[in-house]
Amino acid sequence: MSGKNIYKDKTVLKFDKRMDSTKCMDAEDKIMTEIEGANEIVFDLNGVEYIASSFLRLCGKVSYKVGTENFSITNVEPSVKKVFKIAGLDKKLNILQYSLNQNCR
Amino acid sequence: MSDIGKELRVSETLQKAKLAAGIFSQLSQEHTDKIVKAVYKAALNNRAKLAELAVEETTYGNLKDKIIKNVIASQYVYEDLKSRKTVGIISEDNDKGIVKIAHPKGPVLGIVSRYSPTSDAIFKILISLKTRNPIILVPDSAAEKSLMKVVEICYEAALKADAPEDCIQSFHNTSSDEFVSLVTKPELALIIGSDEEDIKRMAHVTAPVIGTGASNVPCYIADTADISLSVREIINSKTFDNGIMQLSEQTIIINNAIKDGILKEFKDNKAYFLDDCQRSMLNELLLANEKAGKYKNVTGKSPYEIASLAGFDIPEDTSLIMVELDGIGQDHPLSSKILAPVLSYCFVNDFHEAINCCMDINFLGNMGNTVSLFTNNNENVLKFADIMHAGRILINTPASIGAIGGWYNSMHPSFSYACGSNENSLSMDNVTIDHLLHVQTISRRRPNNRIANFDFNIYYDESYDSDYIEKAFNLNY
Repeated sequence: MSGKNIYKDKTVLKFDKRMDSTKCMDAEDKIMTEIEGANEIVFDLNGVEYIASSFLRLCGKVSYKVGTENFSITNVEPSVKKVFKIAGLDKKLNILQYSLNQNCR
Repeated sequence: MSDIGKELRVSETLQKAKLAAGIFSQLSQEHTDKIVKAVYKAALNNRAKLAELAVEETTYGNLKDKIIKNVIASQYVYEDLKSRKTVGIISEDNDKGIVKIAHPKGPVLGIVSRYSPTSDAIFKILISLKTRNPIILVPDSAAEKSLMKVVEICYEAALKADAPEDCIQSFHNTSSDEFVSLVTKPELALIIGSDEEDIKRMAHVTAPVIGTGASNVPCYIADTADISLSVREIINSKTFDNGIMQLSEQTIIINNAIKDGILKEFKDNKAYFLDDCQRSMLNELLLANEKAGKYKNVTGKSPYEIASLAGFDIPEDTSLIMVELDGIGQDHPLSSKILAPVLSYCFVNDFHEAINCCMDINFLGNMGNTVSLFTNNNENVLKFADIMHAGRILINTPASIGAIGGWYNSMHPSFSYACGSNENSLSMDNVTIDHLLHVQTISRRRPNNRIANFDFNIYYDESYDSDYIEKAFNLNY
């Protein structure tokens, strides 16, 4: 995880370019703490070029914890978006079509 | 397990495979090759342990040859595919403006043979990983432990090389309900079978299937054949892993002109020829076994063990049991596939008779698999190939090891031998990484000047017939 911002009542988490297994493991506890008590969670994947299996698992975990309707993923690079589509998660997770900035405007 | 439990297990396995497919799609060629190398090394380093386990669990074949099969499936397969491009651009032709781009197909289901449980599994794992496809392996109930050990070793090595989680899964203890449920799921991109039983079990399958079908390999030794080489290679082939290879010779058809030389060479190489009484005893054993299923009790046994089971004695160091055919067909078990070092033979006068005989044997095992020919007459090779309905026509080669590829010929090494549409299979060649890739074509503008300069008005006037159009189109070309 590379940063956290709050837009209105949304907690926005940003990530490193390569979210491999080690980085996911390191980030998991921190993320689970960050989302404690948050109304709505957004994973901003701007600049993320690679995700490991554990990142998908983390998305599932966060979605389960806060509820599907309160969790979204945005600014997904095409190569990563393809991962969600092949894995069939694009229908189970809320992957926003437009960037967060546009949505919040 | 309840029906809901079974369905849940199937869905979970496929869901995991889909997630792995997603992660796989991001991997570079370098990353993919790193995983394949790690897995091949792990498999090769455990070649003997895995072979021991397979022999112990299945009781089929022999340890030495099982080790060699593991070497072929790991080292030779790796050597064959290590330099091949399977990610991104795999070929580029600037003159034609064509670029080919490789993509994975998606989750692959591999059904693993009871006869080669470890080598078959290693092979299927390597070709799947090289093409970035997750694989789910289904073992035969007689070889579950062996397969699970392969999966454990390969998966551990793959993960250490940063492979996607669940890129290799085993689906063991499979009930027939679960199997049907699994093979009818749309999430599967491809099914690689291992023998004809799989194809029968896959009556309602929805995914494309590729893999081995029924076999019954005839082998003609023509009058131009090198006698010594033919006999040596046939013995090597038919005794390899105690004759358990699906594609080993079942019947040799000998040209009468070289009959004496061939029989002497077999005898000199410790083959044992059955007399009429022994042939009847073996026939009885096979027919009794047939009721129990596919000559199971003789499968993968040594010649000495088979003779003991049939109730007669032969020297312990016998290489092969030879028995003259008394007919071809369902009532003559010696003319059909026996996965053991038992080789039937018959004599013919010429090429024409030989082709007829080979065809009867080939069709008895169903079409599409493999035939073998020992000859030095190239013209007859083409005639033979044209008439035989087989994916592999092996020339002057031991059929079982030859069909694998890479050792005695330039075919890609493989443990899955596709048999074409007769066996519900997409293809008729050795299954390789090419069958596990989707290839996109980028086609850049390269106008065809002949078409661009052609007078299209001719097409609108039907008084110009096809002969005129063809001539005009090809004028000065």
